[in-house]
Amino acid sequence: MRLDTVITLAIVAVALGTVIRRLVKQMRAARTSPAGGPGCGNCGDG
Amino acid sequence: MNAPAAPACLGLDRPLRVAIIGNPNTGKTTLFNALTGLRQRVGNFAGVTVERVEGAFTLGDGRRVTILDLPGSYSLTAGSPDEQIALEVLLRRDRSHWDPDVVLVVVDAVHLDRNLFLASQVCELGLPVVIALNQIDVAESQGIAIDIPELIHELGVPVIPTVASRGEGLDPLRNALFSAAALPAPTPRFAIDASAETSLARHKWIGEVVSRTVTRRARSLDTPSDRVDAIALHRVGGPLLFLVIMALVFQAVFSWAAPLQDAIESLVLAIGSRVGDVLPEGDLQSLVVDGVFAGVGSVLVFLPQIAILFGFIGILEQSGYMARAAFLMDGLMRRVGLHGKSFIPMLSGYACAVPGIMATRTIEDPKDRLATIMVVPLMSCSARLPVYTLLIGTFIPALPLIPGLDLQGATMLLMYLLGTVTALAIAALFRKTLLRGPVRPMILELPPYRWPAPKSLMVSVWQRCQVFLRRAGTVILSLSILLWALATYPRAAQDPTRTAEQQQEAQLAHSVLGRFGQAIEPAVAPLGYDWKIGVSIVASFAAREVFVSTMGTIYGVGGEDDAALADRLRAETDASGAPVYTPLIAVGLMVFYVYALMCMSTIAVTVREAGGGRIGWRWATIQFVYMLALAYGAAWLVLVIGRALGFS
Repeated sequence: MRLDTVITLAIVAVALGTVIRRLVKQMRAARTSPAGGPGCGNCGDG
Repeated sequence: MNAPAAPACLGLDRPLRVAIIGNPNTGKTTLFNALTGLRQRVGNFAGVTVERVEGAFTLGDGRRVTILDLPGSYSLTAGSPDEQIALEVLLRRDRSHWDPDVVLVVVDAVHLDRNLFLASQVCELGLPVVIALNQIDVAESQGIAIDIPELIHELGVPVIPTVASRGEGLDPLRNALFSAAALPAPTPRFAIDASAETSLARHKWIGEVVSRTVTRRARSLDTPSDRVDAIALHRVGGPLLFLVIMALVFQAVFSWAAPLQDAIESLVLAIGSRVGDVLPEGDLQSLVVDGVFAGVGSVLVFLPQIAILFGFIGILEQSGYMARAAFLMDGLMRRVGLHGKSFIPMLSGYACAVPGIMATRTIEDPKDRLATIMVVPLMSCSARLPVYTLLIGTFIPALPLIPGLDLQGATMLLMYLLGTVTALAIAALFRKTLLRGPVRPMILELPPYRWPAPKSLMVSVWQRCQVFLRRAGTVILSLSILLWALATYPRAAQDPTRTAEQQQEAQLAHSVLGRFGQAIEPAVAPLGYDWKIGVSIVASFAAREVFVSTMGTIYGVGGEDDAALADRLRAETDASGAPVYTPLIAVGLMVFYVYALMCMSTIAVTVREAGGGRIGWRWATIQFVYMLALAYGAAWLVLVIGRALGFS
C-alpha cells in the first residue's frame, strides 16, 4: 500500500473516532446530572 | 502547590467559597465576570443565567476565593427549576457539597424595596452575608440617594456600593467578603416560609427600612426609557418596529457580509489550490483539497454572517430591547397557551436550541415548560444560517423591495418568521392536547434602556465566532473527512472512453456514499431532490451546517475545477440537462431545514430536561418525529404549490 494511502486512512480513522467520541459524549449528557450542557459547541456549552 | 487558604481564623484549608444570589437582572453575572475575569453571558433581561457557574479570583496577598454565580430569584420560597438550584446551594443541600462560607447578595439600588425581600431572607439562613448595592450610578442618575451607613445598621450586614459594568467598588467588595467570613451570621427576623403573614410582615419591615434609608428627588415620570417605550411598546407601532428591526438585521447579514464572504471564499480557494499543487497526486491530495478545503471551507465562508447576526442580537439584548420584545409577545403567547416567560427561551433558540431549552428552567409550571421545550428547536438557530445563506445567496435574486430591504433579506426574514409562527401554533396544539392546563399571567420587569458596552459586545461576538470556528475545526472537519472517504471508496474502474467529468460522476455513483444516496433517493424524490441532496440531508442530522460541507465535498470530489460551491450548484444538471437546483427547490429545502430537528445535542438536552430516562426519551422521540413530519410535509407542499403556480 502506498504511504499516502496509509496516511489518508489514518486520518479517516481519527475522524471516525472523533465523531464516535462526540456521539457517546452527547448520549451520556442525556443521562447525567442537570449541570452543564450536552456540548453541541454551538452555544459554547461544551 | 496548594492554593493559599482563607483567613486562618476561619479554620479553612481551602479557598473561601462565595455564592452570588440576587433578583433577576441585577447584574449578578456582570459582577461575577468583573470579579473573576471570566466571560459568562450577560443580558439586559431576566433569566440569562439558568445554572450554576463557578469561577475564582486571588487577592494581591495570595488569598483565594471560589465564587459561584447562581440563577436569579425573587425569593427563597419560589419553585422554578433554576430557582431550586440556587436554593439547594444556599441551604447546603447541594449534591456536590459546595457549601458557601459567605453569601454575596446583589441588590439593584434602583429597586431596593423589591430586592430587599430576597436579601432579608438570605440574611436569615445563618450564613455570613455581604450585600453589593449594584447599579448605584443608575440610582443616582434617577435622583435616588441611599444612606448606606444607615442601611448597614438596619440590615446588620456589610453593604458595598458597586457599578459592576465599570468595575467600580470591586476592591472594597473583595475585602468585605473576607472580613464577613470571620463575622457571625446576621440575626434572623422572620421565619423563611411562604405564608402570607410572614410575607406581609417582611414587606412592612422592608417599607420601614426603605423609608429610613432612601430619599428620592422629585423627577419627571417621563424618563428617556419611557419616551422610547411609548413607541417600542405601542400596540401597533411596537410590533411594526420589531419587524422593521428584524428585517434590517437580516438584510445586513447579506449586504454587509458579502465583501468579507467573497474575500474568505477566495482565500480558501487559493490556499486549497496551492496545497493541492504542493501535494503529490493521490488519495491524500484529494482528501485535503476535496474533503477538507471543499468541505470545511464551504462552511467557513459564513463566519462574517455569524459575526454580524450575533453583533445585532448582542445590541438588542444588552440595550434592553429584548425584554420589550418579550412584552410585545406576551399577549400572543397567552393566546396560544404559553407562559410569557417562554419567549426568552424561544429567543435564545435563535442562537442555539440547547441553551434555549435549558433557559426553560425559569418556567415554574411543568406543562408550560414542556410545551416550550417541544417548540424551541423550531426557532432558526445559527447552525441553519449557513444553509439559508448558501441557498438564498445562490438562488434568490437581490431584487430591491423597499428601501433598505431586498428579496434576499426578506426571504431570510420569512424563514425566521416561519419557524417562530409555527412554534407558536405547535405550542397551542400541545397545550390543547397532551399538555393541557391553565394559562398563568406573567409579571415582566422592563429594565431601563442602556447603551451596549462596546467591549462586552465585541467579546460576545468574538466568543460566537470562536464557537463557530471550533465547530468547523472539530465536528465539521471530522464529518467532512468521513464523507470524503465515503464518496471516494471503493474506487471505480478507470474507463479511457469517459471524459474526466464523466469519470468523476462514475466514481461518485460507485462510492459507498453514491450507493447509499441512490438507495434513499426514492424517499427524497417527492420533494424534487436528487440523491446528492438526500445524502447531504442525512449527513446533516449530525449538525445542520454539515449540509453545506457535504455539498462542498460531493461537488469537490465530483467537480473538475476549483469553482465556488454556489457556482457548482447553479451549473448542476440532471440526465435530461435540466437544472437540479431551482429557486423553488431552494425554498423547499430551506423550509425543510426550518422544521427538521437535525441536531444530536438538542435531542440529548430534550431527553434530560424533559425528565430524563424513559419519559425524557419519549418526549424527545415525539419532538423528533413531529418535526421531521412537518419538514417533509411542508417541503412537499412548497414543491406542489410552487409547480401549480407555474414555478419550475
